[in-house]
Amino acid sequence: MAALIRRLARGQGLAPTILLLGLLLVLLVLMGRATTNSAQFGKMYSWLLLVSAVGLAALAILILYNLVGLIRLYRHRVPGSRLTLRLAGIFALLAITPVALVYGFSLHFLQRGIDSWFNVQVDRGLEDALELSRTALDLRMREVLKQTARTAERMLDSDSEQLGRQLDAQLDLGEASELTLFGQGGRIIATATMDPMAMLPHSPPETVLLQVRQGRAYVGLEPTGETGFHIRVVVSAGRVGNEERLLQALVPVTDRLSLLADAVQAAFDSYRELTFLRAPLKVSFTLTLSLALLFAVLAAFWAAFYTARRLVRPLRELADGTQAVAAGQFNKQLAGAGSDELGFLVESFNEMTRNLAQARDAAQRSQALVESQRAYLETVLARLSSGVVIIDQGGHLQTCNTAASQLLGVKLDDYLGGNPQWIAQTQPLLQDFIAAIGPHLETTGDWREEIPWFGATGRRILMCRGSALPDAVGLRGGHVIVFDDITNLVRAEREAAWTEVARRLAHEIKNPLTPIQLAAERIRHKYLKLFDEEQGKVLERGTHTIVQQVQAMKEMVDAFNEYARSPRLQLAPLELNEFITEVLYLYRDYPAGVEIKLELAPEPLLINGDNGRLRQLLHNLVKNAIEAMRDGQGSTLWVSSRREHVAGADCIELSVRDNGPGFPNHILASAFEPYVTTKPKGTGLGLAIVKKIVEEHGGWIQLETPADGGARVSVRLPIFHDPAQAEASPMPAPPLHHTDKEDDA
Amino acid sequence: MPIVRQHAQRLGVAPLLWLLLGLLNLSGAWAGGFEVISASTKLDSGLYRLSARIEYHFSKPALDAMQNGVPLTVEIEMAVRRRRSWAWDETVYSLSQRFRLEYHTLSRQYLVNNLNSGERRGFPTGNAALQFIGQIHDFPFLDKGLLSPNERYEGALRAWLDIESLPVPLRVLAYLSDDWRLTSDWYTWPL
Repeated sequence: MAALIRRLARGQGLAPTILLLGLLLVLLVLMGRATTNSAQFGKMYSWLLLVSAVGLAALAILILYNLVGLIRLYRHRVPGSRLTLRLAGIFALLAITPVALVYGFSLHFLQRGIDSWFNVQVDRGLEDALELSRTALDLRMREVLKQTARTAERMLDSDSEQLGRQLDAQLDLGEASELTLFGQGGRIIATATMDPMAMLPHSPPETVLLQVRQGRAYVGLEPTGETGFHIRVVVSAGRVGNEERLLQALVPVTDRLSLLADAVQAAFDSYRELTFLRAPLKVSFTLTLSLALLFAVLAAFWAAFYTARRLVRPLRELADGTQAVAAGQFNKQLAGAGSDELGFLVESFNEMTRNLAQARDAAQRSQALVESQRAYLETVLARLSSGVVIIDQGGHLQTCNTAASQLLGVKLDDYLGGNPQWIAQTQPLLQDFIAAIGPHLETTGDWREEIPWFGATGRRILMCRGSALPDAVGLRGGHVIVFDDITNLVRAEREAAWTEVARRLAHEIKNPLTPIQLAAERIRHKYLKLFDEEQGKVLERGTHTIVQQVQAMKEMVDAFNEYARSPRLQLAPLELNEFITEVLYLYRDYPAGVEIKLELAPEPLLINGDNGRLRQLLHNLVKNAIEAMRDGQGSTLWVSSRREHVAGADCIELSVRDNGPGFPNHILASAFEPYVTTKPKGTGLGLAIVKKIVEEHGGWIQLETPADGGARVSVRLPIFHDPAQAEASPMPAPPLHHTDKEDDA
Repeated sequence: MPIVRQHAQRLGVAPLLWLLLGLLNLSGAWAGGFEVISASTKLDSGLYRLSARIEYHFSKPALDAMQNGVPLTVEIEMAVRRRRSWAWDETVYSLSQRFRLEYHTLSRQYLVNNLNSGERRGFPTGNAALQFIGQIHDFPFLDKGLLSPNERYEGALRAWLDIESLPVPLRVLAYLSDDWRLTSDWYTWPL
């Protein structure tokens, strides 16, 4: 029930409500007819009244529910409720005003109209007519009374046996239709009647009998059946013994008189009734009219609510839809709202959202396209082995690829959008690189430059090519910089050059040495015996010097050849501390009185190195130091190892320090070049080979002269990265493997 | 002839409205009323015959209405109920007698119409007419064969003014007024 009321109240149950309204209308029409005394509906009047009242109450509940619900919505500020309430109020007011006006006038006319039915003259006229009828009938009654009295007198002396016959005779003589003689207590003594069907005479009421016994004759007019009258006369008919007899005569009134009297009676009665019912009639009419008014008002209310809801619903949906669109839901479609302007508005809204949705889809598609192109470009850039960096007009880092990060040993993605000063501050490794490319960013043409750079993996040489970007891509004045690590290439080139030198030396120098040596020995052998002792000594010394020097030259060429022709590196993980201890074991009782002190790091230090080459490196360094101290200055050699963090990268430092004379200043700059030595007998290749080995391992070497004297050589080698952790920090670029140079056989 | 019918089938609107309007108008001076003075049945050769005496006191508005040509209908309702100790008594049979009282202006007579039989009688005074309808004498009420011998029965009788027979304009007023609500209580006697 409650659900039905809710449905009806929300205007969903249009059909049931219209049915209810129709039913109420029919009921009211029937009530109207019943009020005007229609016999057909008169009997149903109370039912009609009851059902109408219930129906109207239902309608009222419906409207009340509606109103309460609407007010609640209004209080909660539900969109549309305010407009609905206002529209409903306006509609209701518009409907009620004329209805109320008509009701007022109708009521007035009703009262006046009913009053106008009644008229004093008509009243008097009817009463006079009735009186006239009565007078006419009275005359007749008096006549009948006389006749009956006479008949009763005649009956006085009749004996009981003759009474019946005498009554029949009297009936024939007079106008009576029935003559009856009553005895004590209404006992019927004799009767005569004209009606052959009558079984029993019409007994008079007790009061009549009583009246006659008291000596007063009774004469009365009585209606018979639906129409017509008869006159009942009861008179005393004397005493027989102590029983008093009464004679009753029923005399019909003549048709003519009867009809007229009936008509007068009917007219009078109906007028009388109408007069009496004047007030109730007014009440009744007013009630019906009021019910009709109530019906009209309630129906108007309901219609007002219904119409207001219908009107506002599309507006509310539009409001909801607009909010949905504002929130980004472009697939919102509203239900159709008919073919009026509101419907057009709703249709326009739907079209707008469709268009918006299409536009959004298109935007999404193009965005996806851009994304895919971008991803494509990124993939291509990521696959490039060259580093690519794009810098915008303001010098901010815009784009970089993986190779760039790997080559520079810095995760460049973290610096995207940063300006060069900030990057240089936060990442000291890149300081030199930024300083080197800085000037080129001012230019507009293409440029290329080799940039030496000390990175986490040591000294690298980067080949940079830059180009200013065209304006079209929105990076006016931006630059794209492509760079490659050519360290290994440069080294290979240099080594190839040295190898070539060595080969030439071997070819050009070593080859003539043997004939020179042979020639010197031949001269000595042939001419020594020809010379005297003095001269022989000179020759002896001269040829010996030649042979010795040639031998020295040979050795030198061999050594050089050895330097230039480096074998292929056999890289393997190596624990440096263990390695140092093992190598220096050989020097444990070195005769020269030099004490070697180890200062090794407590933790194991892993590097990726060639055992043999590193052994040579360490030997060279130690020998170099010992030879430097041979002159008597200093007696202690410190070999230390430690883990270090230099220029943003972890590395391992191996240093050899002595308290010998140290490096002279002029040597310091070119100590690693071949044939630079302070020692009288050195080949000058010791430190050059050391440097070469260090570089082969991707490390770098440094000479220092500590303040407290002596010399210090420190070698920094990249730390060995467990392949499992290789992802975490970029592997240093693997050193280029040397190809064995062909020996100059 | 008395009309014997199932009580259950009879659904008058009057009691319903009585109830409804009675609730609205509980107070009010006693303006008249009907009273069953006595009622009894006697068994006469397998037929229960009912004798009863009912006093009718009409209120002044009702009498006025009659004087002014509005016929009044009185209904005497008779019923036989089966006594049940565990539930409501069940009405087994019921019948009613309806009389219409009207004043005949021309003859100054009070006419009584028995609406069941169509019999019509005139009385010179209103009291005579009321006395006439207030006397029920040996009214053939019920065949004994219709009752089950093992059950206990009681007769019930009441009289009331039938508002539904009043002219339409008067009905609403009659329902709302005590003057017109003329009903006797049920008078019961063991059968």
